[in-house]
This record gives sequence, C-alpha cells and structure tokens, in this order.
Amino acid sequence: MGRALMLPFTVERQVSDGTARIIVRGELDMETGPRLDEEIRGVEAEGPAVLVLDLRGVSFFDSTGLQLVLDADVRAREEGRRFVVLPGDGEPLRVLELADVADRLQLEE
Amino acid sequence: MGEDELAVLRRALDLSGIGFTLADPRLPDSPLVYVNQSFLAMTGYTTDDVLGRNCRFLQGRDTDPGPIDKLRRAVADGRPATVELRNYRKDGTPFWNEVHIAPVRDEDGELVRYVGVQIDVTAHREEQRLRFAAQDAERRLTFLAEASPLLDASLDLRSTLDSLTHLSVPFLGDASLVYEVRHDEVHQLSTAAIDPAVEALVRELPSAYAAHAADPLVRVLRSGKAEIVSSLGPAKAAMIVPLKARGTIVGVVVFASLGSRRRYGRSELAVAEDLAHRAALALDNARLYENLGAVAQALQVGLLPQQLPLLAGVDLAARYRPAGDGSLIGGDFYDVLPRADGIVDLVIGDVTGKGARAAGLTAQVRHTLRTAARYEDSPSRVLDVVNRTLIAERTDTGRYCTVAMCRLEPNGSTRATICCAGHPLPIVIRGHGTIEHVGRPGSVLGWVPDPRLLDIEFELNPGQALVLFTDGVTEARTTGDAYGLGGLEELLRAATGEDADAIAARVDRAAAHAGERRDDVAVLVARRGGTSAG
Repeated sequence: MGRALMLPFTVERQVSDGTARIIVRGELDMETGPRLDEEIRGVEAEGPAVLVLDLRGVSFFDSTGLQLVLDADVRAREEGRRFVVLPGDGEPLRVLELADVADRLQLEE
Repeated sequence: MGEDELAVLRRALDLSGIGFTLADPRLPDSPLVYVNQSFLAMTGYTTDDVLGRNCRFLQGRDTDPGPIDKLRRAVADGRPATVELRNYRKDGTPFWNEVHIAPVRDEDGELVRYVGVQIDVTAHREEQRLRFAAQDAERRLTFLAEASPLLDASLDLRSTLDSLTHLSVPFLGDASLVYEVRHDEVHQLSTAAIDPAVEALVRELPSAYAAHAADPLVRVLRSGKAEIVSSLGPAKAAMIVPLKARGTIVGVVVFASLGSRRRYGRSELAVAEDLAHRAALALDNARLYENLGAVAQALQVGLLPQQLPLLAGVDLAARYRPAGDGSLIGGDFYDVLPRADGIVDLVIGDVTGKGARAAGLTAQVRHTLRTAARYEDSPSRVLDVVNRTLIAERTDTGRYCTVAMCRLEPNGSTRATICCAGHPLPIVIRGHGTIEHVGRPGSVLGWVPDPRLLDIEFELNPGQALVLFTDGVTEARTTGDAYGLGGLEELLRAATGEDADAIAARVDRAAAHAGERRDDVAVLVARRGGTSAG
C-alpha cells in the first residue's frame, strides 16, 4: 500500500466552557509534529481548564508524538490544567503503553 | 541549523562528556578555534591555553607516530579519520583518546573547519587490554560504513551524480551511468549519453533489476576493484569503477563505449578511477551537508561504539540502520560496557527527536550510562541515574529516552538481569524454535521523578542468544507493513543456533525488506558460547 492511501494530516480545535479539544487525524511524525506542537501551545495560551488531545484518528505515532504528549502533560501539571488524552486503540495507545506512560496519563476512550 | 539549534547543540555538546573541537585549516598550523567544556575537563587545559594552538599539544613521549601519521594523511587528503592516541593532560598524566576528525566544507567546497570528536577511552581500553589478549580486526563493526551504501540520494546528491555522468561524456565514454545496489537490487541513479541514438539505448536499460553475483557491476561493487570488460549490455567495451568514499563503496560508475572505436586501457582506467575517487568524496560531502550538516553527522560517529569488545564466552554483534533516506541523525544507540570485575552491561536505547538535538541527547545519555554502570549495582539503579539526569536538565522541551539494559554476570555464570525503561522487551532465543521475552515494562526516562524500573533476573544458557532491539525493528505501520513484533518473533524462532552476527544480520535485512522505515533500526545480539541449546 502506498502513501496515497494515508489520511491527510489535520488538526482541528474546538473550545467550549473552559474545555479545549484538539482533534488530530492522519500521520503524526517529524514533518507534521511541529504543526500539532504549535496548535497545543496556542490553545494552552488561552488558559483552558481542561485540554483534551484526541488522537483517535492518528494512523502513525512514534517518538515525535510521544514527546508532544509528555511535554503537554508536564506543562499541564505545572500550570494546574487537566490534560486528557484520547489514544484510541491503535498506534498511539501501543506507543504510550510501550513507553509505560499510559497509566500515569489521564487517558479516556 | 538556526541560531537556536546551534545554541542548543553547543550546550548539549558541553554536557555530552565527549570532547569536541573545531580547527581552522585556513589559518597557519590549523589552530583550534572552538573547544567544548568536556574537552577542557578531559585534558585539564583552559580555553586560553588551547585556542589558537594546533591540537598536537596533547601529544607526548609515548604518542604512537602511526595514528598521528594517519591523521596527517587524512587532513592532507581532506578526508575524515578515526584513531586512538596516547595523549597527555596538562598535568602530564597520559590518557587514551579516541579521536575522530572530519573535514567541513562551505557551500563553495572550501575546507573551512576540521571537527574533532574526542573521547577518553582510557578505562575502557585498559580493561580490554587486561582481559582480552587478542583483538580481532575483522570483527570491527563499521556501522556508518555499512549504512553509507544504503543512503538514498537527495537533491544535492542527485546534482552531484548528474555532474559526474555529464562531465565524463564524451571524454571517458559514449555513455556514463551510475548505479548502486540497494536491497539486492541494482538501481540506476544517473545517466548521460553522447547523442540521441546512444541515449535511446541507455533509456532501454532497466532502471532496476535483481542483483546477481555474476553481474560485472555487482562484482565490482563487491570487490571494490575497477574492471575493464569487453562487453556490457549494448556496450562494446566498458570501464566499471567503484565509487569509494571513506573506505566504503557507495556505488559504481560505468563508462561505456557503444560502437565507437574507443579503447580502454590502463591509462583511461587510471583517469576514470581518479574521477570516481573525487566524485565519491564530493558525494560524501554532499551527504554530510544534507539537512543538519557535518557537525551533527560527525558527532554521530562518536555515538556508536566503533568496535564491540571481544568477550570471553559471549559472542556479540550489532546493526544500525538510519531511518528513511538516512540524511537525518536518528535517536537510536547501543553500547557494550565491560567492567573490570567481569560484569558486562548491554544497553540499547532510543531518544526522542532527530537531528542535532537527538545527537546531543544521545551523547549525554550514553555517557551517563557508561559512568553510572561502573558503580551502580543493578540496571534499574543505572537507569534511575539517567532519569534523574534528564529531569534535572529539563528545559522548555523535555528530553525523553527509552532504554533496555541487561547485565551479564562474570565468569561464565548464566545469570543475567534486565531492566526496561519504556523500551520493547528484549527476546531470548532459547533453542529448538522457542523464544521468550525477558523483563517487565518500565517507564520512559526523563518524564517523572519516580519511574517504574524493575530488575528481572533470567538465565542465558550456553548457545542461547539475547536480542535487544529498538522500536524501528517492529515498527508496525497501519498502512500495511506486515513485519511487526510477530514477524520479528517468527524470524528469531528460525534463527536458533545461529551466531550473533547471523542473527543481527537477519533482523537488519528483514527490517530493510519491510520497506522504508520512519524510525531508526538498531539491534544488539549477545550469544553465550556453547551449543547445548542446539
């Protein structure tokens, strides 16, 4: 199967009642990672009480994605924000479990 | 690299524990113009002592002239080189210095710097010397050398290749073609032809075909010796010349005579070889300059052991394959750390990120591991030191690392202890087609101050092999890559009884055949001597 069949990378932002939700789709890798990083930091700057990172539509996830999730988690703890990750049941969950970080992050289905 | 990246790199270099120097060959006697903190700590000199001086002030009474001469010749030819030197600190105490130097050229191809990566390998070397009488040169693992032929071309490489083919026609042939062998296939990289008729002939040649040992191109690629052949496809005569850079054959260039009265003899071949030699260096420099440039690339050389130690009763092998087109410095590393008391630590790891940042972090983690492994009494305690170091030096962006570390007991004991920090669990090939994962999942390093790190003991009996690997090996693409963890397990079941090198080669080949990787692939294999496992 070739790259043509992969989903295009998109980042979508939804904000309501102090909860910001970032929905990521497609391949999260070295090329697309900086776009998500920028989005997360932009949302954080608006000071939401809860930040939800929805990775259920992510088809590729590696150490770039891991880095973004862990950084966002550390900042959330420092800044007193709830940080929730929706890993889905594919690659993001596999990588988070492999790195043994799944049980200390706030994961939801 | 932007300013920020440079500042980060410079700081990372200061933290790395690896001496790093830059010399300016355009100034008289090539003086040092930059040294990092680690270099000063290693040598006992101050910045004022060393800047403006040629680096030979480190030499002394017992410095072997052989490696010095090798360095001198490399500098004269504008080549990189790696040597081990007896050097002296400011206070006169000698130490063993593993020195890697590499030329850095500017956009115009002018040699502007020589980078030096210097590692104090005294402890390492003394231990090795005491315990292993003979060093087997054939076991030297030159990882970059193995990786080089697999590096795909980029835009810069392409234009260099095209220059090579175009400038050699018609002087050396009616047609000129560059090939490389990749994954057992011969690939055409660039062609040039003297006229449309020849061009039509060239265009009919396959752009890729399966490599056979009988193919003269493959023969030259394997032997590294240029050949004149009396026919080659449509050509009446051809010269096949290897492209050798830094001791590695990266491809072959073919100069062909089609129908003309052109004859090839010794003098034509000499010209062709000289041209190929220059082209190979240019290609190599083009590769060095891609993306992050020569500094990070030169540093990478210092990140993997140049040679695995020879251990009594344990057979070691490793492979490293950079991700994608190989132009980015990846975050995988491995190391083998023999201690004076006979304990041997095997480590493999993966740091987050790519490029200069990853290179600096890799250097730091490897150095911390080496230091902590000397005094900590279990793998989990060693990894805890790494975790604390990463957290203590945390900046805006975290620095994370996964590691699997296995400690082998001395004197032929079959006992081993494994600790995994966010890393895939290693596999032991037990024999008779059975394999077993060893270790318990533990936390990625650099994130939380109280990581879960568990030491698990297991037996590694004679004839059994421990296989440590990084995530790239089993990278499972949801887009159809069939070779995941299951594929690796199946492959290792079939590897029962093979030696460490054969097992490592198997894993490396399988990963290569599974398609282009997003992640680096590293594998380290340790097999106990003996055959009881069959």
